[in-house]
Amino acid sequence: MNGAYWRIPSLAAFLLLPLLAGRVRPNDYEASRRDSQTAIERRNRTAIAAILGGVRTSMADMMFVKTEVYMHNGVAYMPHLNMDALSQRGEVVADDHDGHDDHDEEAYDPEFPPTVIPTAGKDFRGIVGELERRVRPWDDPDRPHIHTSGIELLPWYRMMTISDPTNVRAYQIGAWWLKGPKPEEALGFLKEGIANNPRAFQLPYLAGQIAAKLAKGENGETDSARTAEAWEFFDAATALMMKERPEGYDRDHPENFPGWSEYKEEDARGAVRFAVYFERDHGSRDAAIEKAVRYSEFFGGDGVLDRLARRLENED
Amino acid sequence: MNAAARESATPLRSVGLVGRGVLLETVRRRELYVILVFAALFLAGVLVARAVGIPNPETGTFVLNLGLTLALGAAHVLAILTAARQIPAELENRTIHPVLAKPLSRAEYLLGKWWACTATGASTFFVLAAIAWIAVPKLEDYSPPMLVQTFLAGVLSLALVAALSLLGSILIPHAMNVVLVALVVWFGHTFGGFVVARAAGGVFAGFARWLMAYVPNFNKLNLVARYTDGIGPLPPGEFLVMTLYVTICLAACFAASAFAFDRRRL
Repeated sequence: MNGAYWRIPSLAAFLLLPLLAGRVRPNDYEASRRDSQTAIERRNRTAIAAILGGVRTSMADMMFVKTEVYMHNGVAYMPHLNMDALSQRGEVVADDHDGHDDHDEEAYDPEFPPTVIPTAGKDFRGIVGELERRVRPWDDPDRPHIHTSGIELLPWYRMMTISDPTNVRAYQIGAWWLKGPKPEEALGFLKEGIANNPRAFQLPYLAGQIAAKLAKGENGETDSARTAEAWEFFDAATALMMKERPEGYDRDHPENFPGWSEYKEEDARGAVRFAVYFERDHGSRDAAIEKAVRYSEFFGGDGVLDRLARRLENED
Repeated sequence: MNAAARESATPLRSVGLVGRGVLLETVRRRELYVILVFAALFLAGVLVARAVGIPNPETGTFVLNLGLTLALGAAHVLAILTAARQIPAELENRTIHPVLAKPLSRAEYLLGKWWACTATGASTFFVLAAIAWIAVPKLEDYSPPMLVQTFLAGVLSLALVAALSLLGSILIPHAMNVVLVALVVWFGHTFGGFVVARAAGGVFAGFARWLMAYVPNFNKLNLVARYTDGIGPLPPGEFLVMTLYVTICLAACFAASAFAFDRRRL
């Protein structure tokens, strides 16, 4: 130990550490028991989960909550992740409002969530409550709530992906908002997501949709390079999905398939349907029929694909 | 020095004696007992949960993951606190002078401190993890070899954190060292990911990826989630690569520590 002969080789080896660091990936595995939707819901039903409460909330979850407040112009509505449902029935997502904003004024829901600051009729605080309603962002919960464009949310999704590059959901939702006004940037965002999450089939699926949209020029012409790119994305998405989806997945018993959720199943079916539609529009009818039949068999039957295959077969 | 003394002062024995002093001191410190109190609280919580009933296997896995994660976290806290105070405390109390006056090189002194800090953290981890593992009912399948690897990887992680804390204690003030090492342990991989993500697609992407690989990634040494996810053990080759990764980091820490300590005026 007295000599210093060992120090230089040690430091030299350290300089080459990056060559080794990339090979150490013990937590890079596909099926994650703890992230399964069923497991989350079953855990959340328990008293232990209720006691621990918000302690389990991750930074990304907090940012999702933040995005919801932003989306409602700062008006704090009760979270759409219904806390009663969460504690009593363990439902993580109480409705289909899973980041895709698909409700509007016409689709007004009578069980629409109330605001965090209550209405005058329900507020025992009197003048203090009135003051809060006037000073802080507030809107009458009996009126349809107004959404911002979603563009303001984008920095949050960017923050989420920066703090956790494996947050596939943040890439999905961020790109979904971005694809309307800036499809090129949305595609770039998704490409970054794909680089960080090469196994997540949802990202090339969405990237394929955006590339397909970009392939259609304003004057009706088709961009062949974009078309080829979309094709690559759809091929990648279907290949990844078919590799990841557990064999014989049963939608009635998702609890038997940890690592795969109904959300993934929806995206998986969406990915193959888009691939077939794309084949129909840009490839050959026979290939589209072949794909529809093959993918339907893969899922053990899919009504949409079966109907599409029949319709294509009956076309002249 | 007489012949008997010279014979007894082998490097290994010297290193052992320095470490023994650290262990004796650690037993007298209050941090250990604070952590044991937390362990007792966790144990009480698990026993209450068992009495009430753990209703499904997922909750059992969740509690097991929580227990093992807390055990590893507490062991890291103790290892950081123990290692970070060794040299500053000895300098402040002037006890380092009589120690180094003995036939003991500074590198041996560092090595003695390091193994004892590692042993302190490792024994804390084993005790707390054993409490969690025994108390929580195993309602899902877990791989026993994976549990062994989880413990071994935990020890590697503690060894690295102890070496890093010792290095920091020579270079920077005590409080800053503790905070900095804790940040590297718990947020180092996030910071690395942040920098790599920011540089992605740019001309410096490769450089950023290379540079951030120098920040020790303790996340890679935490196999608790892999164990509770029911995944099998790492192939021997992969585990060997992980061990080599830690060994290189350790050797570099020691080289830098010895270099800085040799030049430090006591």
